[in-house]
Amino acid sequence: MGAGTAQIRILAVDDHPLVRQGIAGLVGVQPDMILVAEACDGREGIQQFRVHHPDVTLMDLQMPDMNGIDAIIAIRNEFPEARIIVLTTYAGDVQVLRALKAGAQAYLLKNALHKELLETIRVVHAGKRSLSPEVSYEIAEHAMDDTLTPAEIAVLRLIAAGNANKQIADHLSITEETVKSRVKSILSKLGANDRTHAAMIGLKRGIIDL
Amino acid sequence: MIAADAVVFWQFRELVVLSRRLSNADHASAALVRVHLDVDTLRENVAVLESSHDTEQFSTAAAELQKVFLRDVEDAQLALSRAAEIAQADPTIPAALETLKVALPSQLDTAVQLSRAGGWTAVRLRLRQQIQDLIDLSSSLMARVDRQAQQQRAKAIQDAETVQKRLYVVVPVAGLLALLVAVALGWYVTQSITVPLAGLVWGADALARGDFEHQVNIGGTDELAVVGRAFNHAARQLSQQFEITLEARVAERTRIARELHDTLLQSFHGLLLRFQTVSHLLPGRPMEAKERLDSAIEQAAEAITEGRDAVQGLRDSTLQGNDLAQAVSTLGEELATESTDGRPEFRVAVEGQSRNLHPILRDEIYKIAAEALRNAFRHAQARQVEVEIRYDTEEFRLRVRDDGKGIDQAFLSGQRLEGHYGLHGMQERATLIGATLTVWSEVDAGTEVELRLPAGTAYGTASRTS
Repeated sequence: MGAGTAQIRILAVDDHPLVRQGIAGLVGVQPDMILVAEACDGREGIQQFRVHHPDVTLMDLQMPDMNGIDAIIAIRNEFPEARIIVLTTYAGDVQVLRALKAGAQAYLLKNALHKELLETIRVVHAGKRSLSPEVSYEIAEHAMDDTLTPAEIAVLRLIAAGNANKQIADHLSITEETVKSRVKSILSKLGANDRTHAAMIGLKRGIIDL
Repeated sequence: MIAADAVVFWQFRELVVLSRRLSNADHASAALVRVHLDVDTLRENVAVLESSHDTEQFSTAAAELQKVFLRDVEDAQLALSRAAEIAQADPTIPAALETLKVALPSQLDTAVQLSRAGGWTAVRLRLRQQIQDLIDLSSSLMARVDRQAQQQRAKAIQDAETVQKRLYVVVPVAGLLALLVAVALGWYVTQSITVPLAGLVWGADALARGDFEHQVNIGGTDELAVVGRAFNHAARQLSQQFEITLEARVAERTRIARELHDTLLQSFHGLLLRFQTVSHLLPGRPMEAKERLDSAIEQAAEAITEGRDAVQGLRDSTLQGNDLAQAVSTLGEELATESTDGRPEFRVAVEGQSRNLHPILRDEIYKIAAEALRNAFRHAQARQVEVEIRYDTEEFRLRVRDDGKGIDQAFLSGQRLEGHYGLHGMQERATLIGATLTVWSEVDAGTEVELRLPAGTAYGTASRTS
């Protein structure tokens, strides 16, 4: 519909069909936009990008097989000019920063899609960056916090998966004592009361994925 | 203790020796008195016989008297030999007795010979003179022995007093020693009980505080050490159980979060976009907007079903009873009433003796069965749905079977796991609990989901908790 070349060509990468359908529906009725392709995981997203060279890519983060961050890095490596908007359910500061570092221009929460998606697509297409106030606030709130080391993140990920210290030690090939001291450090850095709390904070801030 | 006992025993032994020595001396003394009496009797009888001048009678009587005398002398000698102390104290006594023994018969013999020769006067003179000497001898002998016996008695009394004095000292000292030893032993025994007990109390306190790392330190092999080891074992078990429960809770929360993220939230995000689209369309293209709105409403209904399933999953994990078959039956009946197009026939069969499964395992098995049942009732358009639960000695097995339309191979081969079938989640759960999940399906022939769990995993952990 409308004048072909003026339209913003969009690629939607999300493993949830309902979200893809929703995006397709909303974008489909905009005269200045066209959805050129869909993909249900990061790997397929890269392939579709190579085929269609979209102006703007909408990228979910939690996906099976290859997640959004890895896909963003891969696409930006190959196409440094690629403009990517991250779509995700949670506004975890760590995850946002990770996405921005990977090369995303914007970070959108899915619960704000219906209001902000179209505007954000246009802004990013125009070459600007965009962060919603909620996302900015999350980043600001934890800007001064101690960040977890990669080793601590590995332990936290296993805690969230329901592993005991001993199993974590086996998984990571370290001693149980080391695990204990890392858990202690994690609790202190995150301000968590216990392991469960730490796991929940880790998920909320996007330090670890679901 | 033992030394004191030995001293006391030795003292008693000394008293026994003393009393024996005393009785020996008395015997000797009495024997000598008898010898003296014999000699005295002899003199009187001889005087009577000699006046009768009857040689025959005299000789017989003399022989008789001599026999008695010799017997008593020998008795006295024996008694003296036993009362060695008397002979030691006065060595002349045995010699004097021997003299008496030899002299008296020889005098009697001489007197008998003289009487045979008719010399009665000579007999009388001789006997009067000689026997008087013998009486003197025996008398002095008797006196000497008696004196010795007296001395022995006095000495014995003295010795006994010494023994008594010694006992006065030894017995209280021994008693005191015994008391000390008893106190020391008692203290040791008490310590050997109270110290480990205190350790156990500490351990129990630590457990109560939630310090599962605390181990009670009890050495040795006695009953308390056994109790201590049992306690440590129990603490370790408790710690494991606690960790399992805690980790299971974390895992469950993560799982719920993931489920919400994957189902409800995504559906709502999709819905929001659809409603936004409708809002965009309404002014210019109201008919298209209505169509989209209808489809969105349908999707909202589906989202509610998803939400209900998620809630069901939560409720079931905590409220269902121990009986897996019962829980599966209840859910099946519920799903059967729910289905609008032709209610499928539903059946649950249990084979083998029903066994206790670990609560966490049972929960996961139930959830896998629930997912399979939901697929069968909602998507298979089946006429029959069957659950078979089998408790074998080698393994636990659960099968959910339907005669519906089957699942597209594209889903089964793992190409597309998303959508309504939840196969990915079932597989994940199965792997998590160490079970194998197999799905057979053919288009228009039906689907069978089989879950198998080795007996060691399925029942092994149950005994730990129940």
